[in-house]
Amino acid sequence: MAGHRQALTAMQAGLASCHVCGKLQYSGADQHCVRCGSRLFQRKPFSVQRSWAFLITALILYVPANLYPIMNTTSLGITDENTIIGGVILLWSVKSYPVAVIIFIASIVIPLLKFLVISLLLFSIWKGHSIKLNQQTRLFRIIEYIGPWSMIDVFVVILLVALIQFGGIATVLPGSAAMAFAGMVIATMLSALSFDTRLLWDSE
Amino acid sequence: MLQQNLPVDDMIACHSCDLLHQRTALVEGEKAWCSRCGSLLYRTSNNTIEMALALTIASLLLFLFAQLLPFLSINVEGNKTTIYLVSTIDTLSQLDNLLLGIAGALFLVVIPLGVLLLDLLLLGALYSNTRPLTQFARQLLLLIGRLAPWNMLEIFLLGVLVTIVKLASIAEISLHQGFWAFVALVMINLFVSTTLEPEELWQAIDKH
Repeated sequence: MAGHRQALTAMQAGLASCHVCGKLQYSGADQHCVRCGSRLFQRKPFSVQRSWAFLITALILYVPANLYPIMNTTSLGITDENTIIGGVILLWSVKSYPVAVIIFIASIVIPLLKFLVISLLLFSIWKGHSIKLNQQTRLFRIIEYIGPWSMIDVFVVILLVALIQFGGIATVLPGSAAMAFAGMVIATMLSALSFDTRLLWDSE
Repeated sequence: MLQQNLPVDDMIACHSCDLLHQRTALVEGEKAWCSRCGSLLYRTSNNTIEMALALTIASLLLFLFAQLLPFLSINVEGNKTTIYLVSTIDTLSQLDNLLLGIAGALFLVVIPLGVLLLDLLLLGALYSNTRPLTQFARQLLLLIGRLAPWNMLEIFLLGVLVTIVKLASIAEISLHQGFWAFVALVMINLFVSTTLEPEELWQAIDKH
């Protein structure tokens, strides 16, 4: 285990660890990292504002992503429009329980969880709540890790579209929700990338 | 509270909560955790540059196999088609959905292949130890770090599995060499990313 001296943060000691390569060094105004040359900051610049901006973008995209069909299936002249939740219900009704659960978690639960957790943590930074910071940090690391898994449904649409092109017999085309959903996932990832967990601990 | 005489090179600040720690030597397989927030500070890498280079070359070959060998065949009421991974991009580009085509090309080909090629260049340069390319190596490692969060091969693999299960009810699916090469590629990728520390590469470049 690494020992820590007098519970001092890098910021309090006038130090900064590079956001790109992690190198610890003395920090000054308008400085570049001695190791990788990236701009050096003690905290990610405009972290809270950027995080909110991307999160709100994602929330806006979440609406069309769920209301519009994610793919259109044409089979023998009959076209079916499937929304995300419609797809989950369909999978459940044909007893594909594991796949229904995977899609439900990846496409519906994970995005909602990300909205909830990131806005909760941003709120916590704003209010300077320094309670259960360990759990708050761990919560962030968890949603940061599971966030990209929401892309599963987009990949499934891409694959089905590429696979099912049998002219008159069966054709699958991407719906307008597919891009909205992909944009939503990318926006939540950017929101998480902009978030700086150190800001949570600064109020301690 | 400015302290001008801290041994910064022997110290590390927690990337989650910014608390300063003294670096101590770790035994193989050990990890150092933040004493305040419990995040991982650093760990020993059980993967050498030589090993990582070998795995990168293997990954590049598997990537080529996965793209160019038959991936799977689908049989709908006697209509049998064999799909190549590389042709999915082609199919997407023929639809009038440019954005989805671009997203597919980025996540399936450009980003994973880009990361592998950058890895190959960087590790090859560090391994061969011939030219003074410190600045070039830094740029490579910076770019690798930028692309890393967007490399979603393992998520795509789960997407493939979900697609297969979805299709299994309406069509006959058979998996081919390309699919298995892809599975092996994802396994190696996961192994490399959990064992090779970027910090170790930064230090290797510094020593170069």
